[in-house]
Amino acid sequence: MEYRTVPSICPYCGCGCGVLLEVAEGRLIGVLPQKGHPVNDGKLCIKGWTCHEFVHSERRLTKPLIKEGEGFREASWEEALGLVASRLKEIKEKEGPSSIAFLCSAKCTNEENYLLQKFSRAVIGTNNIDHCARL
Amino acid sequence: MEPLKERVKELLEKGEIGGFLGYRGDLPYLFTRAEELDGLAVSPRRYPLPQILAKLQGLYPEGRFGLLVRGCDERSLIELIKNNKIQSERVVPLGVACDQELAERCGCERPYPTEVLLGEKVEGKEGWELLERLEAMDEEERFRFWMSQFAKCIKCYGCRNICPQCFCDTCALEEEDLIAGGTIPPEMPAFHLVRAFHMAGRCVDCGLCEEACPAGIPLRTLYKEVRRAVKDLFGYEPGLSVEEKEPFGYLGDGRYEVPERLK
Amino acid sequence: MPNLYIVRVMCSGRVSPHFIIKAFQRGADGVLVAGCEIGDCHYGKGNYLVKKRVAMMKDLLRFLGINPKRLRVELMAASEADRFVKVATEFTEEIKELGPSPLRGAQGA
Repeated sequence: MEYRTVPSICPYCGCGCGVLLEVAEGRLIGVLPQKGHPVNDGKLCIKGWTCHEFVHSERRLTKPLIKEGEGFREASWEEALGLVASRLKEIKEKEGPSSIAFLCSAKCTNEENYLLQKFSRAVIGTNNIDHCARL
Repeated sequence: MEPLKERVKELLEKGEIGGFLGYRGDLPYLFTRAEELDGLAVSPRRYPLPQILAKLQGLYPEGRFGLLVRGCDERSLIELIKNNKIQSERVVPLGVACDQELAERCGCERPYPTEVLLGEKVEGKEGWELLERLEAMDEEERFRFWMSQFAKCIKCYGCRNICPQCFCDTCALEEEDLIAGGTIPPEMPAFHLVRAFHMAGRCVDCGLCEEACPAGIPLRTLYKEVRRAVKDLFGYEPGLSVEEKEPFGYLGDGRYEVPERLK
Repeated sequence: MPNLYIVRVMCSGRVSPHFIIKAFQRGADGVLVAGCEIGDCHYGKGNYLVKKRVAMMKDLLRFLGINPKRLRVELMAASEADRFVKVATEFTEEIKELGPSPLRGAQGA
């Protein structure tokens, strides 16, 4: 038998509410608000309350998919990233860097978001960068 | 802590329970080995332990559990047993009395379980101030008060999620025919009225809902009135005995009459 | 415009508190729950709970600042048409005196 709660931070917005992830038999079974946490003190919004749901979701993508015709096929990371790189390069050469835009996510870390804007500005050469938290 | 640790150790070693659900530091934790018990604590930060236990009994259909119970936890446990969410033969409750500080902070009338293994019983004082203030208001003022409170709701479902008495597989609050989806605040007062009605004959006044409400809606006062009304109309108080049936849980003889003052 | 809108159900036991709540939310000025007399239930005891539910709901309405008179339960036999007419007329008059529900114009109304 196993049941424990692991203090963590809600992965959704930038507020950084404290959550307790409920773990049983190595699986995430639920979430509780973290009482006494300086940000949320035992309160959560609906996203926080459901932030464990995607982890073991059957609908979660676990492999890269490449669109072919009407459907998708599973691919390796190497192939998928290779395709993205070559297509981005192709589009940049043909249409110019401002034909490309990047959207980053509030669910990534600061550092990851920094990297993406660096990539967008320094590597591709476009200022077209925005993030999901402004939707 | 010693009497509690000793008892849990004994139960674990004798194999009477497979795990003890309590707190390690401030966090809910299932102790399965006697060596871990050094970390056992009685956190003043309350979580719905009986609700977690119901989940664990489902996860481990053969498992027998020890459970740390405060006054509020015991009342919740009784209701969950009554509603067949916890099998009583698979739970050993160990009682802890709350200290004066917590009893006062919670505004708890009965801050101790029936059998106390740890701590001294202190008398609590239930907070009725807001309820009395509301009763003194006229109808219109009371209506405005509640509507302005409900207008703060962000529909996080926190009150329902944390509630040890909310155990339905499908929830009326998520029924789009009843509460229209996609609006915040949710339909007023329907959302809160539905939840309040569902608390009738169930709410044990643990106060976790109000603690979990990010909008600061005085939910406990609303459910206190529900408790008061259930006691007044049907002479029933939830959380006291496993045998006594809640008023909406049996048909009765059909002779019930709506009291004159409500007509 | 008729001032009574009838929602037919198989039995007053079918009248869930949700129906009453939804009616008020949609802006009804009053809700009359009419059912068979105790002992006359086609289903045996379908109507045994209805008065308990209504009593509870009336107290909740009162506490939220909605006049409990806006909700009424009356048990009568299906053959007592004249009694139904009397009750419905009386109830309508009473609601007229109370005026429109404070929930008129609320969400979903």
